[in-house]
Amino acid sequence: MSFDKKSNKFDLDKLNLKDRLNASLENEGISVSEDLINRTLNAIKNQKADELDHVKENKKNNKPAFIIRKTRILVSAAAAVIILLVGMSAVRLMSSNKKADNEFMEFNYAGYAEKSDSAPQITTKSDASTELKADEELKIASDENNMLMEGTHEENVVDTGTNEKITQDQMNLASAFTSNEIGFAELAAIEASDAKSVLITSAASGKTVLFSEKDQVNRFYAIMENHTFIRETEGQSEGNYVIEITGQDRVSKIEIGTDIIKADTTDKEAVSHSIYSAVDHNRLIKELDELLQ
Amino acid sequence: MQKDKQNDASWQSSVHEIEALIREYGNDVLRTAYMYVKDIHVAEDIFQEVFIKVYNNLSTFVGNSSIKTWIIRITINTCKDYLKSAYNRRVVPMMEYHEETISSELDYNEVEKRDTNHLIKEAVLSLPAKYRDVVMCVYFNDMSIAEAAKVLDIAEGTAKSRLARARQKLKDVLEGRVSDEF
Repeated sequence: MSFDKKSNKFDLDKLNLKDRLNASLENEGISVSEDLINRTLNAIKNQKADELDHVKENKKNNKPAFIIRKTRILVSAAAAVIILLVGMSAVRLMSSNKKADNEFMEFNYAGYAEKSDSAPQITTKSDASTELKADEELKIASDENNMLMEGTHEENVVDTGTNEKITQDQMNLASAFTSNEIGFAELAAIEASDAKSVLITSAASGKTVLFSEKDQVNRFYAIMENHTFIRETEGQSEGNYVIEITGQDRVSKIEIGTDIIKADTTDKEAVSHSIYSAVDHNRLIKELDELLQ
Repeated sequence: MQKDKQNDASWQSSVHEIEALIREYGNDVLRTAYMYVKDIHVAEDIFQEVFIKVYNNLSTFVGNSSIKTWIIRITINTCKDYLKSAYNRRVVPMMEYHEETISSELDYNEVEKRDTNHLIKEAVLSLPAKYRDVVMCVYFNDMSIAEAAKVLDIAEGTAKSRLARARQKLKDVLEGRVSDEF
């Protein structure tokens, strides 16, 4: 018995909800029929047949795919060898430049010592230009090397980035698969950037507040974006609070009741009507009250 | 050739396995789907989709939960996906209520019992989704609160508090209206 007269306590555990729901659904004809079972099995068989066809097609195209795969391996191996060779030559160039520089410095020092007064300025000039040239070469080689290194690094970064993005996307997808919650902008069907004004009315107190400045609208959205909402299929909203958002090309009227939130969006072509509930309804009401003050 | 025969045999056995699952849990799946989407045709489409998913992923089922819990989880997620679709956002399902007329063949008590069952079903349907989810898992699909929390991807404490709130709401709706019955 669900209603205990002695204790005056309603006990859902004793209501035998499952049997009652089953009886009610059975009465409405919500039961699995043989036809439905056969249709489902056929759908599974058809899917299997499609899969087999796909596998057969893949088998037919097996040879070119194999060749393509081999070619890819060869190309990537060749690319790796080229990178290695370029890297090695860059290192060799750097070391030979260093060596040449040292030799030149040694020669210059010796030459300068031998021909003390002959043409010190020219030697110095030639020295400087050669040194500059050597420096430039060294810089170019170093730049090339850096570019190669950076290229590889960037590729790695891009690769890691892509992997991270894929993992993130997969996670988002997984959470989207289970999560049914949406943000305020989606509920209102008007983004903060498109909202021109927001009018909040409390039916109980009769207070209204209008946000028409962009800053005020943005602040309102920032507060509301802290809330999440769950889509409902039915329910009555008493409209304790009404939020009217005027956007660029549409108007959204959101009625907030005790449990249910009704959102009506009107644009040039259509009117949409949706029902939601807030995950934290009490906090939402509290914040609306604060906005109204 | 032998391999093809083996594949065919394993395919046949998996089809038999899925048929057994459909027969055992089909009503739970169809009715759970109906309680979400409130349309028998959509519920039947979801039923098919669920068992195709079960068939495709049966090999990945590791047995962390009972197979029924796993199938119901797939059902709930498929229903939520359907409800989230853009088309459904614009179309609010209309409840079709068929007024019961007392047939002379039916006993008055039987009609009253049927009405009460209908009232209870409507009360459950009128619950906000977050409360209805927990009620369906715990009271309709016989899950523990921990299992329901896992299936709905919420904390156990949240499941408990939602269930308490759902009980209160059902009490508000049903108390007095079904008291004689119980």
